[in-house]
Amino acid sequence: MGRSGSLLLGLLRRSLPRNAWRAAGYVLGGGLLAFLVMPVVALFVTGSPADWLAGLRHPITAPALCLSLMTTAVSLGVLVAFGTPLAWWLGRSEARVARVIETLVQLPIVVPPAVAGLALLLAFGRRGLIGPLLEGAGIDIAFSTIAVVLAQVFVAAPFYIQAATAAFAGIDENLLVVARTLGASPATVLFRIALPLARRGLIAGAALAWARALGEFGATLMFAGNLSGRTQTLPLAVYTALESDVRAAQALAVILVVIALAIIVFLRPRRGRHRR
Amino acid sequence: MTVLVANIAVRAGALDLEIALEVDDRGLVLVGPNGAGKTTVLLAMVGARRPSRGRISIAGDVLFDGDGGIDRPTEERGLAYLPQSYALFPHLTAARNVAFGLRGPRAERIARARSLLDRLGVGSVADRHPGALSGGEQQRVALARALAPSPRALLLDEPLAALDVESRQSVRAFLIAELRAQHRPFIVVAHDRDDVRAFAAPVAVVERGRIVQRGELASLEASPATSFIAHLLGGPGPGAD
Repeated sequence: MGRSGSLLLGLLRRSLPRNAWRAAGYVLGGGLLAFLVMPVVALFVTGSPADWLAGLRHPITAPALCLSLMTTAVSLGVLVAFGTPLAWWLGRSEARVARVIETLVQLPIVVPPAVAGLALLLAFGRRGLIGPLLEGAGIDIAFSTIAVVLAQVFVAAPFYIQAATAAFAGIDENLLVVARTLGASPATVLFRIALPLARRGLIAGAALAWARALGEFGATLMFAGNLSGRTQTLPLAVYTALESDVRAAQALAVILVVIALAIIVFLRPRRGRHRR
Repeated sequence: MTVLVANIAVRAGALDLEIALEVDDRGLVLVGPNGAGKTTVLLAMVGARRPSRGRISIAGDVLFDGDGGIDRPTEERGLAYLPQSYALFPHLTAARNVAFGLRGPRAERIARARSLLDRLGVGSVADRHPGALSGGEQQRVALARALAPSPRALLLDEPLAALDVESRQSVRAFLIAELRAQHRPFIVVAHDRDDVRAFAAPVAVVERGRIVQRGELASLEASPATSFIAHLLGGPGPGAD
């Protein structure tokens, strides 16, 4: 803000009584809150439970729900298995390259999903960077369930890696050194000291990553397509159902919102006594 | 008699450390201003900081040798390390903290941990987590944990600094008695005049990464080499008569 802007603010501040500022604050904050809540409320109040039940019985629902649960479970497993060692290194290393990688890993958060989908296609698609290599090995990824998993891992990875890195970085180095002096190998220190101490952060990161994978739409559509039973996950089913049966779309949307709410409640900051 | 010998150079950030030490079971009190490199010496000995060159050995067993390419992993060095914060594992009870360094069946390890805690006078808190212990209790549990695997030497970083005035004297007397009973080399970092005297061990003074004076307490008191030593021991400064 320029000099004249701050001058204007100063004038405003002096000319308006304190209560007026407070009232303005309520109006602005309340307005945004109403805007955020309204769509969610609409999702629930514009349909009846009978509609939702009918929507749940729609033929598009069951395969999409199954596929979403299956692919997100695999994605999360892959992410935890590969992401935990990476996060451990990022969290404990003081090397400059670790800080650079920590920043680069955030890229999928800011890249538009459609761009991510295109990039995945150009990398792993039939005519992509390593497509011919995969084809030679008899693997055809694009427009398969594997592509769904890859898209989910790509977009969800930053959420897990970021939380796990912070959790590992927060462990007092002395605990790890002392554990080693007590005869523990690096692997024992990881499993008996570091992982238990980082548990909270790891679980929170995994929950956020899972939610992101469950909601993945754009990259999946571009890279995996929209094939029922193979690549049509819940968000894609919502999009497809909208064309034929709004109630089915709404039922699927309600499922997704309930899951999202459950995750938020699960991750809410806990008050009360800690043993630590 | 077991002797711990270190002759090492360590570069850590702005710190340029070059130090030669020899410790027998009379122990050694390491003193020096903040940032002089005392903690780094201990970390290098246990293998948590890699010396750029030099040699560390205990009872003739080489733990590190820059020229010989020897760098034994921390868990094989047999050196106990007690950091200033005690670093008790917060998610484990006192008994499980102590049992962490023991080998054998689980029940047997816990039983031995309990008897060790009993011997150090903190058997009653064996099932509590570190967060529920007083400073003095934490220190005894940490000491029990350090002693449990029968280390070849003990390295203690300001073991009394985290204690309040009331518990400090009794804990100190206990710690000194325990260290004397161990008959193992020990290095204790201290910064308090009374503590330095109480340990009644040879003293080495580290300033800016170098040992500026070493010897018996009495000789340091008689002719302190730097104003830091004079100030620490409360005697006249260098050059004073």
